Amino acid sequence: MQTTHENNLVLDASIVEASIKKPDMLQSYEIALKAFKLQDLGIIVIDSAYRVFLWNDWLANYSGISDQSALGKTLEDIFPELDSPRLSNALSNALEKGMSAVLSQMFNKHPLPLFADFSSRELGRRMRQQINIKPFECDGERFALIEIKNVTASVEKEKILKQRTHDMKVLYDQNINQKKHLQNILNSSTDAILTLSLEGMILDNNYSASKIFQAESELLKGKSISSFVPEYNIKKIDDYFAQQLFAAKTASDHDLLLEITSNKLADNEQIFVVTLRDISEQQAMREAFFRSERLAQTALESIADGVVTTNREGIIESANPIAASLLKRRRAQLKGLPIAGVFELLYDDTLEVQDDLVIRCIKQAITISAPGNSVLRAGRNKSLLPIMATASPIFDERNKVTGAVLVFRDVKESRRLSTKLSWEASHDTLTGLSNRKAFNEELESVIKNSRNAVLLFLDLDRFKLVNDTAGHAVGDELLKRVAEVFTEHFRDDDLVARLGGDEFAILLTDCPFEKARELARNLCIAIEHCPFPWQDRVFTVGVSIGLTLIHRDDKSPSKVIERADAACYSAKKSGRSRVHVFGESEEETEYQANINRASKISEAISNERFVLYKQPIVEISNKQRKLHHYEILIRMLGDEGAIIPPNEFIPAAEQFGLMQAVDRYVISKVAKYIDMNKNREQSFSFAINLSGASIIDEMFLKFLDDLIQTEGVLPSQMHFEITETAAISNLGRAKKFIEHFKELGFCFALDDFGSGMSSFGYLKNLPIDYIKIDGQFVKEIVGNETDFAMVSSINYLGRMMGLKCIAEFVENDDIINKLTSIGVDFAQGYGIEKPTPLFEVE
Amino acid sequence: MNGVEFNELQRDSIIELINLGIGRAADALAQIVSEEVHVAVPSVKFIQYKNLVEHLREIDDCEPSVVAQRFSGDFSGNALLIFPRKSGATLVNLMLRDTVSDDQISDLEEEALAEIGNIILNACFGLLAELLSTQLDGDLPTYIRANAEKILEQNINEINDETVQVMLLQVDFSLASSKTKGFVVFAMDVASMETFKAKVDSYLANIFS
Repeated sequence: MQTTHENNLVLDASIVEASIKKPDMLQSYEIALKAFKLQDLGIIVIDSAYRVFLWNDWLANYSGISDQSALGKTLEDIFPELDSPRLSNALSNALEKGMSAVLSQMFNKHPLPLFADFSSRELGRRMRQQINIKPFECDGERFALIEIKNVTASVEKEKILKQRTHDMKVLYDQNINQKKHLQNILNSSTDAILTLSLEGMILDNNYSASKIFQAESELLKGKSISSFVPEYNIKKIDDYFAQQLFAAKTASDHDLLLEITSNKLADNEQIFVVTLRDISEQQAMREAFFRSERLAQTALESIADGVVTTNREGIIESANPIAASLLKRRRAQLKGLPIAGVFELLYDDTLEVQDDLVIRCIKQAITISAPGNSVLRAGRNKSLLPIMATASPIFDERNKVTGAVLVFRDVKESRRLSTKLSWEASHDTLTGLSNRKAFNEELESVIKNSRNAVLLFLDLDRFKLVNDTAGHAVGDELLKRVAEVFTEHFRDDDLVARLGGDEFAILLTDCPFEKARELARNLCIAIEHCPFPWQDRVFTVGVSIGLTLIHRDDKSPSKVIERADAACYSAKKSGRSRVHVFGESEEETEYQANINRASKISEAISNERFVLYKQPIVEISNKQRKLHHYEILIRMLGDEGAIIPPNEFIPAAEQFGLMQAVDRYVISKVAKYIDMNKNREQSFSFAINLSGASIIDEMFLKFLDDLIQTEGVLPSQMHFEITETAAISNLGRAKKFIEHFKELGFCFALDDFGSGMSSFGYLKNLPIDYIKIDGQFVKEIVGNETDFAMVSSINYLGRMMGLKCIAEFVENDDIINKLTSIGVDFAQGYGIEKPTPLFEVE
Repeated sequence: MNGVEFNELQRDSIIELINLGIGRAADALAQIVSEEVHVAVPSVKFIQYKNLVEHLREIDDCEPSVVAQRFSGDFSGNALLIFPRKSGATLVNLMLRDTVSDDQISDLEEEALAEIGNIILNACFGLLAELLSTQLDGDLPTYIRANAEKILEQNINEINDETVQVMLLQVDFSLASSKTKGFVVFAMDVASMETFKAKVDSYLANIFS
């Protein structure tokens, strides 16, 4: 392809020659050439040898390379800096395969080094290009036409356009947002907002306007405002912020009351902004409020209670007529006065002035009622009036106290009635003395508070005779007279009561017993010497009096009255008009003695005045008499150190419910002892006696449980003895108790077995481990055959049941021999070893 | 009338050929954008030109972007590269790393799309011509933006032949992490289609001989 130079469109000799031969062709060729040269885009024609065949002026201009220098060279020759594989590919595709190509400026910004002007060239700023490559054939040879468009301007224009579009979009978005924002503000207003033309035509409206007029926005627009508010005339609005009330109608013809604010935007803007507020509901509420206020006012005027309202400072704001009358002031006078000055409450008994009710109510913001015994001191003469009063705070919407309402009432009459009622409830109407109910209450309170007191029980002698011969009316008169005598003989603090019929009782508190006895004797004499004349006769009656001391162990009034009644009965039996003290007969003496002992035991418990002893229980089946365990015995320390044996205080302790305390004492001490000796080589087991009262008590069970837990007492260190009688008295509970501790591994012995009569049956029911044969039988076992038979049969029975037997009161070797002969396992008694103190140094 | 029928073997080899061409196009595109570009043609379908509208509707119910390029040789016709409008914008965005919204394709961007189409279609033509041992000349591409009916009308008028049949090839582009989809359509009259089929057959015969 090196020989195609003659085909170049350079006006060389051959072409001129050819053109002479074909003048027409030459001419059109020249025209075409010129046209090419003058094209306002770059045109390059490349021949099949990739050489430039045509290079127009545009290219010469922007490349700085003339057609003379370009023709016949390849593009790579012309532009050594050319670096566009895409262009090269497209060109070869066109020449080799006949494919056209587009080189868009986006992907190929400036494939050719073309420059718009000198300065661009200096700066190396190439022209933006868009290139089309089209193959074409001519005389069997394929050429490629390269068209180069300068798109620098388009690119710039598009850049600007894009920026503008972007700016516009931002502006548009902002505008839309602002508009939305404004619309939201307008729509969130509960007032209707309209814009009106000067003619009163609605131009725009917010959401509330649609709501108030019950019409869609589109329906409102364009309508005259007068179609909704007939009276409204825009021409008459001269004030810029005129506010007026207008009657209006909704689209669906409902009546409205509107408060309209008109505002002309500015002189040059011919638009009115009108704000309409629907106050129909407000107006209705206001009317309702006035109505209810009038109603309340009327009610207050006619109410029977005094009603006063105050402000937060307690200054009176209003008072109804009753209030004025109770406060003994004129209504007009009350207004503006501090409530404290006119409403003064006192306690009716002490006449002490109370804290101001209203002020307290305001301060604490709660409703407060005056105490039931309040009296009002009012008026110039400071008269007292029993009243009932309540002050309530008044709150505003934010729950702050703004004042108070005081309501009060004259309760003179009702309080009098209630006083009377309460007196009657507790008094005997005939004699005016306390009645049985009141007496019982007082007695109960004395017992509960463990006060020292003596109770006198009185029964009239020969009263029946008076009643029978002279009639009940006379009998009643006599009772009244007797009551007077009784009252005269005692202090005000002593309670004299009629229990019913001719029975009376007198409660003397804090009165020494001997003084009470003396008073009673005097009363007997006084009644004897008090004649009761009736018509032509004179009756004399007597009185028998029973006395009893109320002591700490008394639990119920009925027991005390029972004792006094019993004493009174003794008095009557021993010849009327006498005084008898309960306990002065034989059976009563033992009771009294036990009372004394019980108090001593109580003291001993609190002062720990007990001594514990231990007595060994040994195995007698072998010669060594090996120690098996100890039984713990208790002694009480009397005055001056005397040792009191158990039989002298245990019965009293049982009678007065002190056994549990004793048991707890013993167990705690033994547990302590065990703890103190826990490091000794040899550890012993101790049998502790438990009373019947303890084993049936849940609390005691819990106490023992806790103690075992906290002190870590082992079953091998402690076991328990309970008496047959204690177990039998509440078999179910006893069984439960025994089973509970047996489960923990503790052993139980049944004490004094044989002393109760029905022993054998119970043995089956109680899960015990040992039987202790009652010492009474053991003691006489050598000489008394019955006792021997008893002991051996108990032992036999025990063995049969798999129980071990312990013989008590073993006093000598003869007894031991006897016991071993029948196979008794263990023995205890003076014949073996006497009890010794548990603690070495006590 | 169903036009020229292609059996499975023929269809498979067309897909293979086109994929080879498209593979070249992908390389060319990768060079332009300096990034890996994957283009694949998973399926081919032959339908009547008039049914193309429905297919175009499936792509996009409004205006797809279309690059049309005429080809001529032993068989001639019109080749179209069709993108759903969004895909076109996506493609330009991917290629130019620019932000172009789908309703805002500018002249220059249209040119860019035309170039993409040109590259792809040229690659297809080149390969078909090469492997089917024929000559195919490609015209300059034009960018058309119109609705499906208009495109059809325009091309029908140009070809003015109801027997025009369409070879519809789905084209999947993936670039970086994005994917987009378009179609390549070769519309030919019966005569051209027959020639095309014959060329495919002789290609096959060549392979198996």
